[in-house]
Amino acid sequence: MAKFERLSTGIKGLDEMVDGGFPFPSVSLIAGGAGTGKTTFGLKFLTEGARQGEQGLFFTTLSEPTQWMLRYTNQFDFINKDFFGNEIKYQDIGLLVQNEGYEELLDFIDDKIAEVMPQRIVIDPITVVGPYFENEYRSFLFELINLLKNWQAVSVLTGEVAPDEPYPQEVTYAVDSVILLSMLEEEGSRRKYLEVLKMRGTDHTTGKQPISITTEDGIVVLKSRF
Amino acid sequence: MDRKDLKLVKNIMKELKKVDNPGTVLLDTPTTQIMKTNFFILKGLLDLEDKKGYFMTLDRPHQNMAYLLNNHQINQKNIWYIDTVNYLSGKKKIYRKNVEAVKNAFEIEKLTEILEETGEKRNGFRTLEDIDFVLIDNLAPMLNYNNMENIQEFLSSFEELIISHNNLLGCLVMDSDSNEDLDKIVKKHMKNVVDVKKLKEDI
Repeated sequence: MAKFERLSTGIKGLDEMVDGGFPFPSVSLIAGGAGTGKTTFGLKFLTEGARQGEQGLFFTTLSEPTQWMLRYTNQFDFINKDFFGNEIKYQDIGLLVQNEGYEELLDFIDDKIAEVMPQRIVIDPITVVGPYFENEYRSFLFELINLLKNWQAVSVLTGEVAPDEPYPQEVTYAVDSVILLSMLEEEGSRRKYLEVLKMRGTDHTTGKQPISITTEDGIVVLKSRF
Repeated sequence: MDRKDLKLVKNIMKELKKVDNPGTVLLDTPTTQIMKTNFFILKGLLDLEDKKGYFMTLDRPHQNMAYLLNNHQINQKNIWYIDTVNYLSGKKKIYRKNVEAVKNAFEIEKLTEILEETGEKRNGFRTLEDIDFVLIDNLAPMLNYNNMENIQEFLSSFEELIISHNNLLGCLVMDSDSNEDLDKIVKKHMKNVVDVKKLKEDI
């Protein structure tokens, strides 16, 4: 058999939990509530690729201009601003989500990927799209994930978790991997955790692993069973 | 495509011009860059060099490359796709006229025959006598369905086919690190090697 290629996640301690990284090509969901580090995960993943000479493409569904994103990333030492516009292309698709049908949105994403030819793709956050497409949301997700799988890339979708659900279920059924970021109140303080719920074809560490988010490294897995 | 990409395309073309035709060449590239390298080779051969040829897909359905070339406004009148994965990937629809869809891709030793037959059947397009290149997108996925003997048989007949036609260039894209045994067999039959990773690093 040919070697099973994997791309480093860029998250300290996570590669060791998932057999070396995300399978190439594949589509993963990083799910979590507000403030758990989903966007930081996506940025670290793309920065790691850029460091290794890979092309990255970041889609935001939030209608945030590039300068807002750069202002947010200012706090992190691991971000090299020179990557933006070069090794990491930034694309706002917020207006398309709000104003166009899902087929137009898929065509736009497909065209953008063909133009940039990335090895790493992030869509942040995908769950924002749900209310706009209502009954067509599942069809959209199915087609989007198929579209992403057809490109030679590792794609990371981030997803907001609603208070009454463990993870965004519409997305999880179609992706190859699901990583859950959570924040739990323990002994009067909030602690953050990372858990690999699913990773196809990968022997992975299970259970919640404590993480911290630092300005130097972004997300760091503090303790794992290896 | 940015300036660096275009420079890489030109450097790949320079390396291919050094190969005596008819000849075979392995374009060694990391697995993550295989689709991009295939695109760069086709950009160079079709667009910059105005060559004609076959693109045999063993890894990704031809629709992906057709879409990429179209997106980058590269004329596809001089390319014929031989798609061995279209049926396996569930993409039953063929949108283009210049496609030969192979239903039995598991039998790699028959692929050279298919190349020859395509040339004979499709004389409205190009026969092997009047095309300039045959490009194979990635050999490594064939290890999932074939043993090394079958692959060796294919490579041997592919090399024979290429060198029996004047001015034909046989190109194979692969990551030499993907499988050590496969790499040895490939290098026995692909008489020239272009290190695409190094070409990229040198830019």
